[in-house]
Amino acid sequence: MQPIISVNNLSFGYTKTDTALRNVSFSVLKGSYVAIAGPNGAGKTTLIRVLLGLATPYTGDITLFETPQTSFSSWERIGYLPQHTGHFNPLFPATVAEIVRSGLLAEKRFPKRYNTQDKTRVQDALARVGMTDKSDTSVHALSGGQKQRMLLARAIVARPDLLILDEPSTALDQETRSHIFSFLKDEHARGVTILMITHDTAHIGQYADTLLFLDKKVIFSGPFDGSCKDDVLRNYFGGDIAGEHLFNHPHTEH
Amino acid sequence: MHAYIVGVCIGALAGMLGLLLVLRNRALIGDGLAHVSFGAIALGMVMGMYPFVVAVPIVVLASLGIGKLTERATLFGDAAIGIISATGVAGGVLLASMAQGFNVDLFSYLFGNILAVATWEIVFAAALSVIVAVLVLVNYHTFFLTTFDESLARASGIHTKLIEALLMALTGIAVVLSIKAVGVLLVSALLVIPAVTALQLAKSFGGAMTLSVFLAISVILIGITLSFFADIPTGATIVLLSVLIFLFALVWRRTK
Repeated sequence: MQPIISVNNLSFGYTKTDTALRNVSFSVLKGSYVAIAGPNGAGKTTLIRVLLGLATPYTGDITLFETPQTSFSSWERIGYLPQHTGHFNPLFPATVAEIVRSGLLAEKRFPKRYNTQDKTRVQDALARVGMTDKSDTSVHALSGGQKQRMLLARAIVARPDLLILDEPSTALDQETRSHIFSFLKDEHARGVTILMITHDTAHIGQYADTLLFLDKKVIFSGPFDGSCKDDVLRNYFGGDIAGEHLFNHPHTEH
Repeated sequence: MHAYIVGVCIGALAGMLGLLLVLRNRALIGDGLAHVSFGAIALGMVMGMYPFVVAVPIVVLASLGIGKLTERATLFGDAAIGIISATGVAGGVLLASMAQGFNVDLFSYLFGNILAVATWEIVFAAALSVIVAVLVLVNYHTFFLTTFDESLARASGIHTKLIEALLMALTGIAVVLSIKAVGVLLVSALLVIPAVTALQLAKSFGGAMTLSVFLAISVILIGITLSFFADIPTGATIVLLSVLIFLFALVWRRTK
Protein backbone atom coordinates (compact mmCIF):
# COMPACT_ATOMS: atom_id res chain seq x y z
CA MET A 1 0.00 0.00 0.00
CA GLN A 2 1.36 3.43 -0.90
CA PRO A 3 2.14 5.96 1.84
CA ILE A 4 0.00 9.10 1.68
CA ILE A 5 2.26 10.82 4.19
CA SER A 6 5.92 10.03 4.59
CA VAL A 7 8.01 11.78 7.25
CA ASN A 8 11.75 11.23 7.66
CA ASN A 9 13.95 12.64 10.42
CA LEU A 10 11.69 15.62 10.99
CA SER A 11 12.87 18.11 13.62
CA PHE A 12 11.22 21.39 14.45
CA GLY A 13 11.50 24.09 17.13
CA TYR A 14 9.55 27.31 17.65
CA THR A 15 12.79 28.99 18.74
CA LYS A 16 16.44 28.17 18.07
CA THR A 17 16.83 26.58 21.50
CA ASP A 18 13.47 24.78 21.62
CA THR A 19 12.89 21.33 20.16
CA ALA A 20 9.20 20.59 19.75
CA LEU A 21 9.88 17.59 17.49
CA ARG A 22 13.07 15.54 17.30
CA ASN A 23 13.96 13.15 14.47
CA VAL A 24 10.37 12.09 13.86
CA SER A 25 9.86 9.43 11.18
CA PHE A 26 6.67 7.61 10.24
CA SER A 27 4.39 6.82 7.31
CA VAL A 28 0.64 6.96 6.89
CA LEU A 29 -0.62 4.35 4.46
CA LYS A 30 -3.53 4.93 2.13
CA GLY A 31 -6.80 3.85 3.74
CA SER A 32 -5.40 3.68 7.27
CA TYR A 33 -6.89 5.24 10.39
CA VAL A 34 -4.04 6.66 12.44
CA ALA A 35 -4.45 7.94 15.99
CA ILE A 36 -1.77 10.30 17.28
CA ALA A 37 -1.51 10.17 21.05
CA GLY A 38 0.90 11.46 23.65
CA PRO A 39 1.08 13.66 26.74
CA ASN A 40 0.42 17.41 26.71
CA GLY A 41 3.28 19.25 25.05
CA ALA A 42 4.37 16.13 23.16
CA GLY A 43 4.33 17.97 19.82
CA LYS A 44 1.15 16.40 18.39
CA THR A 45 -0.43 19.63 17.17
CA THR A 46 2.98 20.92 16.10
CA LEU A 47 3.45 17.81 13.98
CA ILE A 48 0.16 18.42 12.18
CA ARG A 49 0.97 22.11 11.69
CA VAL A 50 4.34 21.22 10.22
CA LEU A 51 2.74 18.63 7.91
CA LEU A 52 0.32 21.28 6.63
CA GLY A 53 3.01 23.92 6.16
CA LEU A 54 1.64 26.06 8.99
CA ALA A 55 4.83 25.84 11.06
CA THR A 56 8.18 26.42 9.38
CA PRO A 57 11.10 26.05 8.93
CA TYR A 58 11.88 22.42 9.76
CA THR A 59 14.63 19.97 9.00
CA GLY A 60 13.99 16.56 7.48
CA ASP A 61 11.74 15.38 4.68
CA ILE A 62 7.96 15.42 4.39
CA THR A 63 6.15 13.90 1.42
CA LEU A 64 2.42 14.33 0.86
CA PHE A 65 0.83 12.17 -1.83
CA GLU A 66 4.32 11.37 -3.15
CA THR A 67 5.13 15.08 -3.56
CA PRO A 68 7.60 16.99 -1.37
CA GLN A 69 5.56 19.10 1.02
CA THR A 70 7.32 22.31 -0.03
CA SER A 71 6.04 21.93 -3.60
CA PHE A 72 2.71 20.27 -2.74
CA SER A 73 -0.26 22.16 -4.18
CA SER A 74 -3.21 19.70 -4.17
CA TRP A 75 -4.53 20.94 -0.84
CA GLU A 76 -8.08 20.00 -1.83
CA ARG A 77 -7.01 16.37 -1.23
CA ILE A 78 -6.59 17.16 2.48
CA GLY A 79 -9.47 18.06 4.78
CA TYR A 80 -8.31 19.77 7.99
CA LEU A 81 -10.09 20.29 11.27
CA PRO A 82 -7.96 22.43 13.62
CA GLN A 83 -7.92 22.42 17.40
CA HIS A 84 -10.24 24.61 19.51
CA THR A 85 -12.37 25.57 16.56
CA GLY A 86 -15.28 26.65 18.76
CA HIS A 87 -13.65 29.98 19.55
CA PHE A 88 -14.69 32.18 16.64
CA ASN A 89 -14.13 35.90 16.44
CA PRO A 90 -17.39 37.06 18.06
CA LEU A 91 -17.62 39.90 15.53
CA PHE A 92 -17.24 37.75 12.44
CA PRO A 93 -20.56 37.50 10.60
CA ALA A 94 -20.93 34.21 8.75
CA THR A 95 -23.58 31.65 8.02
CA VAL A 96 -22.97 27.92 8.24
CA ALA A 97 -23.12 27.64 4.43
CA GLU A 98 -20.46 30.36 3.99
CA ILE A 99 -18.04 28.55 6.30
CA VAL A 100 -18.65 25.08 4.81
CA ARG A 101 -18.37 26.45 1.26
CA SER A 102 -14.90 27.84 2.05
CA GLY A 103 -13.73 24.22 2.19
CA LEU A 104 -14.01 24.19 -1.61
CA LEU A 105 -11.63 27.10 -2.08
CA ALA A 106 -8.51 24.89 -2.25
CA GLU A 107 -9.69 23.30 -5.50
CA LYS A 108 -10.52 26.60 -7.18
CA ARG A 109 -8.09 28.31 -9.50
CA PHE A 110 -7.81 32.08 -9.92
CA PRO A 111 -10.22 33.81 -9.94
CA LYS A 112 -11.61 31.61 -7.20
CA ARG A 113 -15.37 31.57 -7.79
CA TYR A 114 -18.05 29.12 -6.68
CA ASN A 115 -20.53 27.61 -9.13
CA THR A 116 -24.10 26.38 -8.79
CA GLN A 117 -23.00 22.78 -8.17
CA ASP A 118 -21.03 23.92 -5.13
CA LYS A 119 -24.29 24.82 -3.37
CA THR A 120 -25.42 21.20 -3.75
CA ARG A 121 -22.06 19.96 -2.46
CA VAL A 122 -22.39 22.18 0.63
CA GLN A 123 -25.90 20.85 1.29
CA ASP A 124 -24.64 17.31 0.85
CA ALA A 125 -21.80 17.86 3.34
CA LEU A 126 -24.21 19.41 5.85
CA ALA A 127 -26.58 16.46 5.43
CA ARG A 128 -23.75 14.06 6.16
CA VAL A 129 -23.06 15.71 9.53
CA GLY A 130 -26.78 16.05 10.31
CA MET A 131 -27.09 19.81 9.85
CA THR A 132 -29.26 20.10 6.75
CA ASP A 133 -31.53 22.72 8.28
CA LYS A 134 -28.68 24.94 9.56
CA SER A 135 -27.41 26.20 6.21
CA ASP A 136 -28.50 29.83 6.69
CA THR A 137 -27.96 29.94 10.45
CA SER A 138 -25.42 32.37 11.89
CA VAL A 139 -22.37 30.53 13.25
CA HIS A 140 -22.81 32.39 16.53
CA ALA A 141 -26.20 30.74 17.05
CA LEU A 142 -24.63 27.26 17.09
CA SER A 143 -23.68 25.18 20.12
CA GLY A 144 -20.08 23.98 20.54
CA GLY A 145 -20.96 20.57 19.13
CA GLN A 146 -22.76 22.08 16.13
CA LYS A 147 -19.76 24.31 15.40
CA GLN A 148 -17.52 21.26 15.43
CA ARG A 149 -19.87 19.38 13.06
CA MET A 150 -20.01 22.42 10.78
CA LEU A 151 -16.21 22.50 10.57
CA LEU A 152 -16.21 18.76 9.96
CA ALA A 153 -18.60 19.40 7.05
CA ARG A 154 -16.13 22.04 5.84
CA ALA A 155 -13.29 19.52 6.05
CA ILE A 156 -15.14 16.91 3.98
CA VAL A 157 -17.04 19.10 1.50
CA ALA A 158 -14.35 18.72 -1.19
CA ARG A 159 -14.35 14.93 -0.68
CA PRO A 160 -10.68 14.79 0.36
CA ASP A 161 -8.56 11.64 0.31
CA LEU A 162 -7.03 12.46 3.67
CA LEU A 163 -8.65 13.91 6.79
CA ILE A 164 -6.39 15.51 9.41
CA LEU A 165 -8.19 16.17 12.67
CA ASP A 166 -6.78 17.82 15.79
CA GLU A 167 -8.71 16.58 18.81
CA PRO A 168 -12.14 16.63 17.18
CA SER A 169 -13.97 15.39 20.27
CA THR A 170 -12.47 17.65 22.95
CA ALA A 171 -15.00 19.49 25.14
CA LEU A 172 -17.98 17.86 23.42
CA ASP A 173 -20.87 16.01 25.03
CA GLN A 174 -21.07 12.24 24.71
CA GLU A 175 -23.78 12.32 22.03
CA THR A 176 -21.85 14.69 19.74
CA ARG A 177 -18.65 12.74 20.32
CA SER A 178 -20.36 9.48 19.32
CA HIS A 179 -21.84 11.18 16.26
CA ILE A 180 -18.42 12.44 15.14
CA PHE A 181 -16.68 9.09 15.63
CA SER A 182 -19.49 7.26 13.86
CA PHE A 183 -19.21 9.74 11.00
CA LEU A 184 -15.43 9.25 10.78
CA LYS A 185 -15.94 5.49 10.78
CA ASP A 186 -18.19 5.85 7.72
CA GLU A 187 -15.65 8.12 5.99
CA HIS A 188 -12.91 5.58 6.68
CA ALA A 189 -15.12 2.81 5.28
CA ARG A 190 -15.44 4.92 2.09
CA GLY A 191 -11.67 4.79 1.71
CA VAL A 192 -10.72 8.10 3.30
CA THR A 193 -7.41 8.01 5.19
CA ILE A 194 -7.67 9.52 8.67
CA LEU A 195 -4.94 11.05 10.82
CA MET A 196 -6.32 12.18 14.15
CA ILE A 197 -4.90 13.58 17.38
CA THR A 198 -6.83 12.36 20.37
CA HIS A 199 -6.66 12.41 24.14
CA ASP A 200 -9.46 9.87 24.24
CA THR A 201 -6.98 7.05 24.84
CA ALA A 202 -9.52 4.87 26.62
CA HIS A 203 -11.47 4.35 23.40
CA ILE A 204 -8.77 5.04 20.84
CA GLY A 205 -8.57 1.45 19.63
CA GLN A 206 -12.28 1.24 18.83
CA TYR A 207 -11.73 3.20 15.65
CA ALA A 208 -8.02 3.56 14.82
CA ASP A 209 -5.99 0.74 13.27
CA THR A 210 -2.61 2.44 13.67
CA LEU A 211 -1.06 4.27 16.62
CA LEU A 212 1.57 6.98 16.55
CA PHE A 213 2.61 7.72 20.12
CA LEU A 214 4.65 10.90 20.44
CA ASP A 215 6.61 12.62 23.15
CA LYS A 216 8.63 15.07 21.05
CA LYS A 217 9.98 11.97 19.34
CA VAL A 218 8.22 8.84 18.17
CA ILE A 219 7.75 6.46 21.10
CA PHE A 220 5.70 3.98 19.07
CA SER A 221 4.51 3.81 15.49
CA GLY A 222 2.74 0.78 14.13
CA PRO A 223 -0.42 -1.31 14.15
CA PHE A 224 -2.62 -0.69 17.14
CA ASP A 225 -2.79 -4.38 17.93
CA GLY A 226 0.96 -4.49 18.42
CA SER A 227 1.17 -1.48 20.71
CA CYS A 228 0.38 -3.27 23.98
CA LYS A 229 3.17 -5.76 23.39
CA ASP A 230 5.71 -3.09 22.53
CA ASP A 231 8.45 -2.97 25.15
CA VAL A 232 9.42 0.64 24.52
CA LEU A 233 5.86 1.83 24.97
CA ARG A 234 5.38 -0.34 28.07
CA ASN A 235 8.59 1.04 29.55
CA TYR A 236 7.45 4.57 28.69
CA PHE A 237 4.35 4.03 30.83
CA GLY A 238 6.36 2.35 33.57
CA GLY A 239 4.80 -1.06 33.11
CA ASP A 240 1.43 -2.60 32.33
CA ILE A 241 -0.70 -0.88 34.95
CA ALA A 242 0.13 2.72 34.12
CA GLY A 243 -0.43 2.17 30.44
CA GLU A 244 -3.44 -0.10 30.74
CA HIS A 245 -5.95 2.58 29.75
CA LEU A 246 -4.25 2.97 26.38
CA PHE A 247 -4.87 -0.62 25.40
CA ASN A 248 -8.51 -0.85 26.35
CA HIS A 249 -9.81 -1.56 22.88
CA PRO A 250 -11.40 -4.46 21.01
CA HIS A 251 -8.51 -4.95 18.56
CA THR A 252 -6.15 -6.01 21.31
CA GLU A 253 -5.88 -9.39 22.93
CA HIS A 254 -4.53 -8.86 26.42
CA MET B 1 -22.67 66.16 -9.30
CA HIS B 2 -18.85 65.81 -9.23
CA ALA B 3 -18.92 65.41 -5.46
CA TYR B 4 -21.62 62.71 -5.66
CA ILE B 5 -19.61 60.65 -8.17
CA VAL B 6 -16.47 60.82 -6.05
CA GLY B 7 -18.59 60.10 -2.98
CA VAL B 8 -19.96 56.87 -4.47
CA CYS B 9 -16.42 55.74 -5.40
CA ILE B 10 -15.00 56.48 -1.96
CA GLY B 11 -18.01 54.99 -0.16
CA ALA B 12 -17.72 51.71 -2.05
CA LEU B 13 -14.03 51.35 -1.23
CA ALA B 14 -14.35 52.40 2.40
CA GLY B 15 -17.27 50.01 2.93
CA MET B 16 -15.51 47.00 1.44
CA LEU B 17 -12.04 47.51 2.89
CA GLY B 18 -13.27 48.85 6.23
CA LEU B 19 -15.14 45.62 6.96
CA LEU B 20 -12.05 43.51 6.28
CA LEU B 21 -9.85 45.77 8.42
CA VAL B 22 -12.25 45.81 11.37
CA LEU B 23 -12.61 42.01 11.31
CA ARG B 24 -8.82 41.66 11.23
CA ASN B 25 -8.36 44.03 14.20
CA ARG B 26 -6.70 46.56 11.90
CA ALA B 27 -9.31 49.29 12.34
CA LEU B 28 -6.76 51.96 13.21
CA ILE B 29 -4.58 51.42 10.18
CA GLY B 30 -6.70 53.98 8.28
CA ASP B 31 -5.79 56.58 10.88
CA GLY B 32 -2.08 55.81 10.58
CA LEU B 33 -2.14 55.90 6.78
CA ALA B 34 -4.08 59.15 6.77
CA HIS B 35 -1.27 60.74 8.78
CA VAL B 36 1.24 59.39 6.30
CA SER B 37 -0.89 60.96 3.54
CA PHE B 38 -0.46 64.33 5.24
CA GLY B 39 3.31 64.12 4.81
CA ALA B 40 3.01 62.71 1.28
CA ILE B 41 0.62 65.51 0.22
CA ALA B 42 3.08 68.08 1.60
CA LEU B 43 5.84 66.44 -0.42
CA GLY B 44 3.69 66.58 -3.54
CA MET B 45 3.15 70.31 -3.00
CA VAL B 46 6.87 70.93 -2.51
CA MET B 47 7.53 69.06 -5.75
CA GLY B 48 4.87 71.13 -7.51
CA MET B 49 2.88 68.04 -8.48
CA TYR B 50 -0.76 67.10 -7.89
CA PRO B 51 -0.54 65.92 -4.23
CA PHE B 52 -2.61 62.74 -4.64
CA VAL B 53 -0.39 61.47 -7.45
CA VAL B 54 2.57 61.61 -5.06
CA ALA B 55 0.54 60.42 -2.06
CA VAL B 56 -0.80 57.18 -3.60
CA PRO B 57 2.56 55.40 -4.07
CA ILE B 58 3.98 56.70 -0.78
CA VAL B 59 0.94 55.64 1.24
CA VAL B 60 0.81 52.24 -0.47
CA LEU B 61 4.47 51.71 0.46
CA ALA B 62 3.74 52.84 4.03
CA SER B 63 0.79 50.42 4.24
CA LEU B 64 3.05 47.57 3.15
CA GLY B 65 5.63 48.72 5.70
CA ILE B 66 3.05 48.66 8.49
CA GLY B 67 1.99 45.17 7.40
CA LYS B 68 5.59 43.97 7.43
CA LEU B 69 6.36 45.48 10.84
CA THR B 70 3.14 44.15 12.34
CA GLU B 71 4.12 40.62 11.29
CA ARG B 72 6.81 40.89 13.94
CA ALA B 73 4.15 41.22 16.62
CA THR B 74 6.54 40.55 19.49
CA LEU B 75 8.74 43.42 18.38
CA PHE B 76 6.26 46.06 17.28
CA GLY B 77 2.56 45.12 17.54
CA ASP B 78 0.32 48.18 17.08
CA ALA B 79 3.39 50.37 17.55
CA ALA B 80 4.13 49.87 13.84
CA ILE B 81 1.13 52.06 12.98
CA GLY B 82 2.30 54.68 15.51
CA ILE B 83 5.85 54.76 14.18
CA ILE B 84 4.89 55.16 10.52
CA SER B 85 2.02 57.59 11.13
CA ALA B 86 4.19 59.82 13.35
CA THR B 87 6.86 59.83 10.67
CA GLY B 88 4.28 61.00 8.13
CA VAL B 89 2.96 63.84 10.28
CA ALA B 90 6.44 64.97 11.32
CA GLY B 91 7.55 64.98 7.69
CA GLY B 92 4.47 66.97 6.66
CA VAL B 93 4.95 69.57 9.41
CA LEU B 94 8.62 69.93 8.55
CA LEU B 95 7.92 70.41 4.84
CA ALA B 96 5.14 72.89 5.63
CA SER B 97 7.44 74.98 7.81
CA MET B 98 10.16 74.94 5.16
CA ALA B 99 7.82 76.10 2.37
CA GLN B 100 5.41 78.43 4.09
CA GLY B 101 3.65 79.38 0.88
CA PHE B 102 1.45 76.32 0.74
CA ASN B 103 0.51 76.08 4.44
CA VAL B 104 -3.10 77.08 3.82
CA ASP B 105 -3.52 74.55 1.01
CA LEU B 106 -1.91 71.78 3.04
CA PHE B 107 -4.06 72.36 6.09
CA SER B 108 -7.21 72.29 3.96
CA TYR B 109 -6.47 68.59 3.48
CA LEU B 110 -6.86 68.03 7.20
CA PHE B 111 -10.63 68.45 6.88
CA GLY B 112 -11.24 67.67 3.20
CA ASN B 113 -13.47 69.43 0.72
CA ILE B 114 -15.36 67.13 -1.58
CA LEU B 115 -17.49 69.99 -2.94
CA ALA B 116 -14.42 71.49 -4.63
CA VAL B 117 -13.50 68.54 -6.81
CA ALA B 118 -12.28 69.03 -10.38
CA THR B 119 -13.37 66.93 -13.38
CA TRP B 120 -10.01 65.27 -13.82
CA GLU B 121 -10.00 64.40 -10.11
CA ILE B 122 -13.20 62.46 -10.72
CA VAL B 123 -11.49 60.49 -13.46
CA PHE B 124 -8.50 59.84 -11.18
CA ALA B 125 -10.71 58.71 -8.28
CA ALA B 126 -13.04 56.64 -10.45
CA ALA B 127 -10.19 54.83 -12.22
CA LEU B 128 -8.46 53.92 -8.96
CA SER B 129 -11.78 52.96 -7.36
CA VAL B 130 -12.63 50.57 -10.18
CA ILE B 131 -9.20 48.92 -9.91
CA VAL B 132 -9.50 48.52 -6.13
CA ALA B 133 -13.10 47.29 -6.29
CA VAL B 134 -12.28 44.71 -8.97
CA LEU B 135 -9.31 43.42 -6.95
CA VAL B 136 -11.45 43.12 -3.81
CA LEU B 137 -14.29 41.34 -5.63
CA VAL B 138 -11.97 38.96 -7.50
CA ASN B 139 -10.37 37.99 -4.17
CA TYR B 140 -13.61 38.15 -2.18
CA HIS B 141 -13.72 34.47 -1.14
CA THR B 142 -10.00 34.44 -0.36
CA PHE B 143 -10.40 37.54 1.81
CA PHE B 144 -13.32 35.81 3.55
CA LEU B 145 -11.33 32.72 4.52
CA THR B 146 -8.11 34.51 5.47
CA THR B 147 -10.13 36.87 7.68
CA PHE B 148 -12.14 34.05 9.28
CA ASP B 149 -9.17 31.79 10.09
CA GLU B 150 -5.66 32.23 8.75
CA SER B 151 -4.63 28.63 9.51
CA LEU B 152 -7.55 27.21 7.54
CA ALA B 153 -6.68 29.54 4.67
CA ARG B 154 -3.04 28.47 4.63
CA ALA B 155 -4.06 24.81 4.82
CA SER B 156 -6.17 25.52 1.73
CA GLY B 157 -3.06 26.60 -0.16
CA ILE B 158 -3.77 30.34 0.08
CA HIS B 159 -0.74 32.63 0.24
CA THR B 160 -2.01 34.60 3.22
CA LYS B 161 0.92 37.03 3.37
CA LEU B 162 0.29 38.05 -0.22
CA ILE B 163 -3.41 38.59 0.52
CA GLU B 164 -2.53 40.68 3.59
CA ALA B 165 -0.13 42.80 1.50
CA LEU B 166 -2.83 43.27 -1.15
CA LEU B 167 -5.32 44.41 1.49
CA MET B 168 -2.81 46.86 2.95
CA ALA B 169 -1.96 48.31 -0.48
CA LEU B 170 -5.65 48.69 -1.44
CA THR B 171 -6.31 50.37 1.91
CA GLY B 172 -3.53 52.84 1.17
CA ILE B 173 -5.23 53.83 -2.09
CA ALA B 174 -8.66 54.08 -0.44
CA VAL B 175 -7.28 56.29 2.35
CA VAL B 176 -5.71 58.76 -0.09
CA LEU B 177 -8.94 58.99 -2.09
CA SER B 178 -11.05 59.40 1.07
CA ILE B 179 -9.03 62.39 2.25
CA LYS B 180 -10.75 64.48 -0.40
CA ALA B 181 -14.11 63.70 1.23
CA VAL B 182 -13.49 63.82 4.96
CA GLY B 183 -9.87 64.95 5.40
CA VAL B 184 -6.86 63.44 7.12
CA LEU B 185 -8.31 63.74 10.61
CA LEU B 186 -11.56 61.89 9.91
CA VAL B 187 -10.64 59.37 7.24
CA SER B 188 -10.41 56.39 9.60
CA ALA B 189 -14.00 57.07 10.70
CA LEU B 190 -15.17 56.44 7.15
CA LEU B 191 -13.38 53.09 7.12
CA VAL B 192 -14.49 51.99 10.57
CA ILE B 193 -18.00 53.28 11.35
CA PRO B 194 -20.03 51.93 8.38
CA ALA B 195 -18.28 48.57 8.81
CA VAL B 196 -18.98 48.38 12.53
CA THR B 197 -22.59 49.43 11.93
CA ALA B 198 -23.01 46.68 9.33
CA LEU B 199 -21.62 44.16 11.83
CA GLN B 200 -24.41 45.09 14.25
CA LEU B 201 -27.06 44.23 11.68
CA ALA B 202 -25.82 41.47 9.35
CA LYS B 203 -25.61 37.75 10.07
CA SER B 204 -23.64 36.74 6.97
CA PHE B 205 -20.32 37.96 5.60
CA GLY B 206 -21.89 38.76 2.23
CA GLY B 207 -24.67 40.68 3.96
CA ALA B 208 -22.20 42.64 6.10
CA MET B 209 -20.09 43.56 3.06
CA THR B 210 -23.14 44.74 1.09
CA LEU B 211 -24.52 46.70 4.03
CA SER B 212 -21.16 48.27 4.85
CA VAL B 213 -20.82 49.54 1.25
CA PHE B 214 -24.44 50.75 1.19
CA LEU B 215 -24.05 52.63 4.50
CA ALA B 216 -20.72 54.23 3.51
CA ILE B 217 -22.13 55.47 0.19
CA SER B 218 -25.36 56.64 1.84
CA VAL B 219 -23.70 58.69 4.58
CA ILE B 220 -21.39 60.35 2.07
CA LEU B 221 -24.23 61.27 -0.33
CA ILE B 222 -26.54 62.46 2.46
CA GLY B 223 -23.63 64.27 4.14
CA ILE B 224 -22.74 66.11 0.93
CA THR B 225 -26.37 67.19 0.47
CA LEU B 226 -26.82 68.30 4.09
CA SER B 227 -23.55 70.20 4.20
CA PHE B 228 -24.30 71.95 0.91
CA PHE B 229 -27.73 73.22 1.98
CA ALA B 230 -26.85 73.92 5.62
CA ASP B 231 -23.44 75.39 4.72
CA ILE B 232 -21.58 73.24 7.22
CA PRO B 233 -18.31 71.26 6.86
CA THR B 234 -18.85 68.16 4.68
CA GLY B 235 -16.37 65.80 6.36
CA ALA B 236 -17.65 66.43 9.86
CA THR B 237 -21.27 66.05 8.66
CA ILE B 238 -20.50 62.70 7.04
CA VAL B 239 -18.75 61.36 10.14
CA LEU B 240 -21.39 62.54 12.62
CA LEU B 241 -24.12 61.08 10.41
CA SER B 242 -22.24 57.75 10.45
CA VAL B 243 -22.00 57.85 14.24
CA LEU B 244 -25.75 58.58 14.49
CA ILE B 245 -26.63 55.58 12.31
CA PHE B 246 -24.21 53.41 14.29
CA LEU B 247 -25.93 54.38 17.54
CA PHE B 248 -29.34 53.55 16.04
CA ALA B 249 -28.02 50.16 14.93
CA LEU B 250 -26.54 49.53 18.37
CA VAL B 251 -29.83 50.32 20.12
CA TRP B 252 -31.80 48.30 17.56
CA ARG B 253 -29.60 45.28 18.14
CA ARG B 254 -29.80 45.57 21.92
CA THR B 255 -33.59 45.79 21.86
CA LYS B 256 -34.07 43.03 19.28
